[in-house]
Amino acid sequence: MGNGILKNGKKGLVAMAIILIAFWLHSCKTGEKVAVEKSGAELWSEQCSRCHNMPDPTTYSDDKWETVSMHMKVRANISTKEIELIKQFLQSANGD
Amino acid sequence: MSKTIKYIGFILLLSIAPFHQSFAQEGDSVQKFKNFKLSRITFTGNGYCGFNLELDKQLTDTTGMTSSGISVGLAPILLWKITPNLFFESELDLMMEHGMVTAELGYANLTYSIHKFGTIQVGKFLSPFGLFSERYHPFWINNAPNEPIGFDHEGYSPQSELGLCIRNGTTHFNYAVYVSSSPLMDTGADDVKNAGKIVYHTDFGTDINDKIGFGSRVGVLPFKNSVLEIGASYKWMQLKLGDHYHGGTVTHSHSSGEDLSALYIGNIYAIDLTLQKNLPGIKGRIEIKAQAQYSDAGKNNFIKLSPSGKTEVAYTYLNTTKIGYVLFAYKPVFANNKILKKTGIYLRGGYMELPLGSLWYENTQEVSAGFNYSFKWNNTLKLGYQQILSAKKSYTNSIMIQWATAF
Repeated sequence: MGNGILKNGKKGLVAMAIILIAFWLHSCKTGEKVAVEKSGAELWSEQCSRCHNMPDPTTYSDDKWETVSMHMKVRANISTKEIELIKQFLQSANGD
Repeated sequence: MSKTIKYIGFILLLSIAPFHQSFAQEGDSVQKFKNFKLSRITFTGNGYCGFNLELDKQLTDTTGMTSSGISVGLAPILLWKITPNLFFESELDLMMEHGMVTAELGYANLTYSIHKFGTIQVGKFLSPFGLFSERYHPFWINNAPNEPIGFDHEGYSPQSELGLCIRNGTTHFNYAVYVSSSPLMDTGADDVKNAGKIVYHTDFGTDINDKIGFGSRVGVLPFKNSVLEIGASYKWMQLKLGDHYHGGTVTHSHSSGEDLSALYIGNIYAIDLTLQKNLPGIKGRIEIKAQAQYSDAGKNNFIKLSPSGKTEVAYTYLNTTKIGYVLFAYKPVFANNKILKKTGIYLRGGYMELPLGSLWYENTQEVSAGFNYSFKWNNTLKLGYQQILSAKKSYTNSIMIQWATAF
């Protein structure tokens, strides 16, 4: 019984690895192309509101948006190109 | 524990190896590093203050405390972008409930970003299992003044992981895969009724399971404007029996028949859905958030006192747990009235089915509804009502008021 579960666990791991490799390859290929089609303001509106109210750009200084955007990139799995555009928009709109 | 660290270190090295070319391709990275300001440290955080009043009866838990009362929480967060690609984040969770103050490390991790290849995260991080724990649990984000049933701090869903995580995202897909220390399974030493509970909430201070587990979440966003995200999560765990209570290890004289070396294999699965859409026709925005999960830790054997209290008897149960919730929210963000556009309403339903035969068996449903008002994007006052229906057909009605903020 225990061995059976362990074998199932290994099968699950293999299946998961295959799926994730496929996603990883796909994300490497298409991540930048999709992002550049949208402006930073559009991405700010879409990505931030997936979880919470849209933040006011004036909340943070340029330097603080630098760190906060990195935090959000990791938390919400936002691509590097997209978070860069969002950060540039927030830094340009905060009056800093 | 040392084995765990060795495994994590080994996997970290393996993970970095395929990416070495990306370092070489970023020709200007050295220059970027030289020009980078080392002062990029940000202190931020969130907090809440609330009051919960049970209307029909003052239930008491095993510690003899009522469920009504004031709760206050503060979570200071430190963010440090060390280099353009290296990032550190940590959160301290300070909570006061029923007059008791607790402090624990929410997360503390180091993240390396490898441009379009994603990020590698090492340390204690919020669990990417489902979406509630990682993204929706802070009260300034959560529409309601409390967590869905079963998803609370001491609940039945993974909350944080100690290990390594690789993740990436695009407009249409995102994933996270992680290797981490498995949770402990409660022996019932602190409270015999908890024997067999999987302890997802642990401060990783004194009670760490040195057995490795792994998990992943894959999210799909089928539409370009990211209005819909559907995710699937899986986690495999090697559950070691451990004496657990809030914040440490207890000294306990175990029964002679208790097998503390037993290792149970646990599997937990979840699906989640998030939909948010602006609907100018109804002058507002709707949100639907849902998560359903199922865990299976096999047949577990424990010992309890017989009804006479004089002898010990063995008992076995199938350790499966089902929890889930659906939340619907509406915010009239396109209303002409300035006050109205800051308001919102929510309706939430949830269920929690704990193992039949265990001493912690419960079969419970909840219905919640409420109203909130956002003074600013990060500052919300909430008023909620919750009704909990247990398997014994007894109702518990509560009113909650909460102010939540992020700073």
